Amino acid sequence: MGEVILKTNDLTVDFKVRKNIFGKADRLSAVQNVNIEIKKGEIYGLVGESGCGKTTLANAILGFVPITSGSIECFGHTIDAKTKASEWKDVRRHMQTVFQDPYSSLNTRFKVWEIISEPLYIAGERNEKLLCDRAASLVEKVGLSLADLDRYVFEFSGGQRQRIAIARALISDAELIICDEPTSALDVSVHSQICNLLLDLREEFELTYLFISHNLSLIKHITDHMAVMYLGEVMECGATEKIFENPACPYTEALMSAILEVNPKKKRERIILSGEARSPINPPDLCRFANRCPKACEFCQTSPLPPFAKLSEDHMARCHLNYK
Amino acid sequence: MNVLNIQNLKVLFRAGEGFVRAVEGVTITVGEGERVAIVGESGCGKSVTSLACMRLLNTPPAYITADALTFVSKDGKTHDLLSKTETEMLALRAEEMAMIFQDPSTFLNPVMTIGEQLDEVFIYHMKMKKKEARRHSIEMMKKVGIPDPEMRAGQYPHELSGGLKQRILIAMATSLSPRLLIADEPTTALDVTIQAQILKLISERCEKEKMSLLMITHDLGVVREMADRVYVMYCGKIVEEGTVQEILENPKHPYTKALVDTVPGIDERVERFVQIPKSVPHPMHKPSGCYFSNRCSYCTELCKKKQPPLRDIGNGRTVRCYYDAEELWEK
Repeated sequence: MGEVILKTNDLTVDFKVRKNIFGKADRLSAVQNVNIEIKKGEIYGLVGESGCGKTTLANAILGFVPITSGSIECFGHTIDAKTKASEWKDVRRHMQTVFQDPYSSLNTRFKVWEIISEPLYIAGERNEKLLCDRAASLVEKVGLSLADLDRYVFEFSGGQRQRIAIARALISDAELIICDEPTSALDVSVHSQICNLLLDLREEFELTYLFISHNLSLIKHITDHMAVMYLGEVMECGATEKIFENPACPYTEALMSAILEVNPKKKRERIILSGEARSPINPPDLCRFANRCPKACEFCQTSPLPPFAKLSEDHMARCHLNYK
Repeated sequence: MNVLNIQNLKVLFRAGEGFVRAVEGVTITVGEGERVAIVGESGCGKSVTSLACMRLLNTPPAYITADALTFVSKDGKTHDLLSKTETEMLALRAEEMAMIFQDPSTFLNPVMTIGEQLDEVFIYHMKMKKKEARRHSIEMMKKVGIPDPEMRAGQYPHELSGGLKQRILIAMATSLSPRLLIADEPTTALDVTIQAQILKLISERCEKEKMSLLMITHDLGVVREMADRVYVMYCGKIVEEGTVQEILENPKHPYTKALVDTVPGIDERVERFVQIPKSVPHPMHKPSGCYFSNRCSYCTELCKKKQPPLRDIGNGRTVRCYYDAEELWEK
């Protein structure tokens, strides 16, 4: 594992929501004080339920949403709320993304080679022959054929479309690929094809992935480090192996027990959480999971969330239970 | 005794010049109090099968034929579902057979409050007065674990989260304790922790009201959790049938085996995932012979030529493959 290529320092993203045009704006806290470190060549997993801010965090890293406070250090730049668009462009060159739904992330009026080479076009390359050649050099690496370059996307199945999206992410020689639930819109029998493809490409192009998923069992198998998010805050982070061996936050435990086991020989205790996540609008300064936590005591309901406790090398959790 | 008996069900859809054969001769039975699952990928015809049972498909474009499609109601009468008029079906739905859908937000009417929508079930089927119906609605909402039901009854669907909406759907579907509950991917649109809650709720409701369950899903984990017996479907045909324990432990069809293998266990970490090559064929261009032949690693000349029949291999299991599993796995 190499040096740290992306680091966030207390990254916070808030949105303003207004009930009506005269009312005072409420603060929707999407990402709150997130600190993650991604090392070169690893797969960093981000898990959590919908609405927990994992996609917003990825969007903030890519510059799609403005940062409210905190900063991102990546590829020799430090980016904060005041960074100008021109510097952003420099940084973003090193990053690419694969979206969840290949049915909506690909332009249906473009031919496949145009889709794949679009990042280069945006970067200023106008020579069609060169664009086409670059697309051709990648298309077989992602498991499509050269003849596919001249087709339109509607002719492809979900899995093939996702392959096109992956080729597009690779063409500009980005180092960090952000995969936002790349398999969840696909058929079950195609999941493993796409995962294996991502793993192969990582070795070939020495890529780093930020892998967002709500599927904990997938995260377990492919990631090196991971962070568990709940309502905008990272609850636990560290080496995947250590977190799975010894989950320190009750939310992580509950998530793990919610994985449905297929093997009928294995019996597992299941923790079924009651209730649902609280609203992210103007959240109180407490542990955000306290209202659903099966282990919460009165102390959790009344005192602010503690800082991260270092449980071992490469394993941190943010929970009152670790301080008792 | 079988509550639902489907024999050789075929569903065609007219599409442009030709027809899409969505379901091709499916035979499914659901016994009294039994929990049955149909598992398969998108486009395999599992939802169409369930919609055909509820007679919720528009004909045309759909054309439904079956040797038998019968349902036995609570009073012991056998109903031929295909010959029923729409009015007769209306009486049967909700009272005798009910359905939960995948996406609760498209099912609920956005311009009616939750309470009004729940009341309808009682007003229409039980001929209750509004006030009495509301009392029953609130009672039902308590049964499915909705906190503060009086307040929720006055709210509109957009004010509720996905998990709560799914609970409302379950309340609606089970309020008249039907004999058969069909659940079409009830947790696919929900988060994992909410999925656990909803699955538990469905099994509790089924047990309490002594309902039979027909669960439609693509997730083998859900099958294991929720069903006693399972049918595996691929491209409109059943490829394997058996008890859940048997199928998951000892699959006999190459497709089932591949599906089970693609889900890695949670305990050990794998370096690579087992993958099935290619993707599901287009419904209008299914391969000749066995539909799985183009993706099957054990495919022979015979498989490419002729569709294998559904073979009975004893122990209540059937499989649509020419070969014995033991021989295949050895290859």
